[in-house]
Amino acid sequence: MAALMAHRIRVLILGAIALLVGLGRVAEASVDAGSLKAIMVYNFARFATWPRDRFIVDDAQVVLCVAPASPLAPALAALNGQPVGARRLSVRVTNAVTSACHMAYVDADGVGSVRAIQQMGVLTVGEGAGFPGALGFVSVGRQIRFAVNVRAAREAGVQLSSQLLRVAMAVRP
Amino acid sequence: VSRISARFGTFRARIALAAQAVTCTGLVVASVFLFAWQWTTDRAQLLTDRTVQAQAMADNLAAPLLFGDQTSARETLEGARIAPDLVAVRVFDARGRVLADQHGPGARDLPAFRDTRSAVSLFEGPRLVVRTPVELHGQRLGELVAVYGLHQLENRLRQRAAFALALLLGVALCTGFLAYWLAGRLMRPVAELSQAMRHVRESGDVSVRVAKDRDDELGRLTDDFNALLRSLDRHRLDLRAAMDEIVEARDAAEGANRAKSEFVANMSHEIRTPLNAVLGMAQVMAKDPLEPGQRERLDVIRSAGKGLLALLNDLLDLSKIEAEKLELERVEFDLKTCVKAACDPFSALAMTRGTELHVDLADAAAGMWEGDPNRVRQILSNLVSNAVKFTHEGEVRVTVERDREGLSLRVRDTGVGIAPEKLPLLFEKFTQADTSITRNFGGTGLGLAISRKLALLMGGELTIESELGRGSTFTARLPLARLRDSAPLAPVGLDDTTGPAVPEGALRILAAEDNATNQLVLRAMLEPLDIELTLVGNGAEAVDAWSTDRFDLILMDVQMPVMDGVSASRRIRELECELARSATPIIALTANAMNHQVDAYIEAGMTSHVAKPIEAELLYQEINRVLATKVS
Repeated sequence: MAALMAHRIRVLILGAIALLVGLGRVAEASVDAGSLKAIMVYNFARFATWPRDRFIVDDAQVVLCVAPASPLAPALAALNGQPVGARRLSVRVTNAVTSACHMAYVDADGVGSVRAIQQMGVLTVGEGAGFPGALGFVSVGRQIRFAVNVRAAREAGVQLSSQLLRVAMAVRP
Repeated sequence: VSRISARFGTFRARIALAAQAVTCTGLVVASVFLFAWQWTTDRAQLLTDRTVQAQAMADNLAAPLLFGDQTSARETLEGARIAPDLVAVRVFDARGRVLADQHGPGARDLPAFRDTRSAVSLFEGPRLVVRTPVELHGQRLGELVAVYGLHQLENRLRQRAAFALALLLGVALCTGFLAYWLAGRLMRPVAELSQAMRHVRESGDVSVRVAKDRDDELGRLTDDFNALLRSLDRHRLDLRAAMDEIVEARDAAEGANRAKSEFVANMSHEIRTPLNAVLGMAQVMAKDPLEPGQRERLDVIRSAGKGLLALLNDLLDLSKIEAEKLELERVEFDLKTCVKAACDPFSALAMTRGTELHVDLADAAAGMWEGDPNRVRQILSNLVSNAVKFTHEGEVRVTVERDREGLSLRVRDTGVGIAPEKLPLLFEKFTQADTSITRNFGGTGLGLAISRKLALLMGGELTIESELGRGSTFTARLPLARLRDSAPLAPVGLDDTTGPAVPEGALRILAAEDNATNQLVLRAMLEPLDIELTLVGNGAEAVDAWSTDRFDLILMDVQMPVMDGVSASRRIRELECELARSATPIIALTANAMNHQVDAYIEAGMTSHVAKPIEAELLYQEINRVLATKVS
């Protein structure tokens, strides 16, 4: 059951990559923008490093919190259990973002609380180049890209890989 | 000098060359190994470097691949261009699509996607292909392929090779000079030895020694050479001593031989003088009225005396020939006269034996020849004598011809012949084919030996063909020159007067003769003929006698003490001129006079000569002839 699931996810990821690379027309039919963003969120997790004390044990899960009302919630939930380095991704669909979360997708409704969330050491992902959190999705034509707010990430105490910064459309210090 | 040094120069060069060959071979082999090692090392280094580089690049390509960021991927690949030998680099995603690539404008054969699981670096032909997977946390995201050319490596190798070659040449030049110089140093002792040898060879001085300054092989060679010189020196001294002994022995032998020859000559002379007396007296006696028994005994005496004289003459000839003192004349002579003189004396003997003696003188051969007529006659005479002696019944044929080489005298007989095994002995002195022959036929056995020696002396040969029981043929070939035909007016003196002609009328004759026996013979021959004979003992006395008296004729012996006949004759002719006296004929009395000697007598003023031993008839003839000429 789990293996079948993993297989489905892999197909999904590859499909998303194909879309990103520019063969979008095929991908568009099978993968919607929500799924794509979910995968990108997952990938962000792979290029982020949290302080050690944010985990109880070394192989503890990376917890991603998302509000149930968020359009990305189902797609993200589907990624639950995907590997993130030596850890695994744990998706929590909840309205309460606490310090137990390592990452949080904050949609337009929750922009006001971004700062508070960051203070708890949570890496925030949201929409738009002006998103006050660490990573914000930007749509460029059919492509979906992202901008990085280095200061926000630093506030949260999360180290983003330089590779991620290079791939980003814009990097704010 | 230069030739020798050049030869050593080449040997020296060869040694240097050998050393040089070893050096260069070593250098080249070492260089080749070094280059092979360097090449391998360089390739391994390149492989490691480029693999590490590609892996580092692959690490940086994870994010661009994940996010499909071609720009970022391209930027990352830009970094690979730092490597100057990069031909192409490509990034594939997990499905083999090219995310980004970098290559030169003309790059071909770009590598394809292979989805390798771990870094693989391979040399493919002239290129190094590095494949490495792009992974993130163990997940394969794609593949990076980088292709590098090896030309940089090759260029470096080429530069090194050029440098190494230059170095090799430089080193070879240096070692070449060094080797040549060292070879020269090594060869020096050999050159010195060679010089010493050359000195010995050119000067023949074997007393030199080569200084030895080492104990190696060359030192031993020097020792050996010195030892060789010592032994040569010793041999030379031995040889010289032996030579001295030989020369002494030879001188002694020559002296002895000379003494023997002189002894033979003296003895011959000493024997001949009394023999002359015996024969002379016998001749004179023959004119006396004798009883038949006495005449027979007298004939035996005369015959034996003539034989003895012939033997004596042969002995004298042989000893002259052996002492190489026999001189051959070169005068003009009439061949016919010569042949006749050689053959005629034997016709009577042949007749008594029932043998026919034929003489064929070819027309082409007859005429005047140049040579020694007495010796030609002697050769032919000996051959004819021999043939007649050994032929009892049958014939002896003498053929005289002119052939290409000159004169050919052939005497063929139908006599007993000679066995083939005896032929080689035939020309030995005192050898006859059969010892019994001497008993049966007489003869000294010297004739053939003398004939052969005379023929050889003339540059010709004497050959013999013989068959036992059938006869023999002797052929003398003499390389003489025929000058012309006989002068028709040449009188043959011996033929003109036949029979005893005795000088007539009262003649006054002065005879100079030192030998008492000969004086007796002259007296016995002349006094019975109403001749007033005055005898003197030498030339000076003859001149005195001539000065104080008048003579119709002078008989002059040539060899006399105090003054010889020639000087006396010359003196008399001088006095005749001074005193304006008419010339008195002078007849020389000589033994075995040669033609040139006779010429000398004539030149000294003598009128003619008569040979000793004096034959009474010949003397009478000559006296008559001289007086007749004087009167006319």
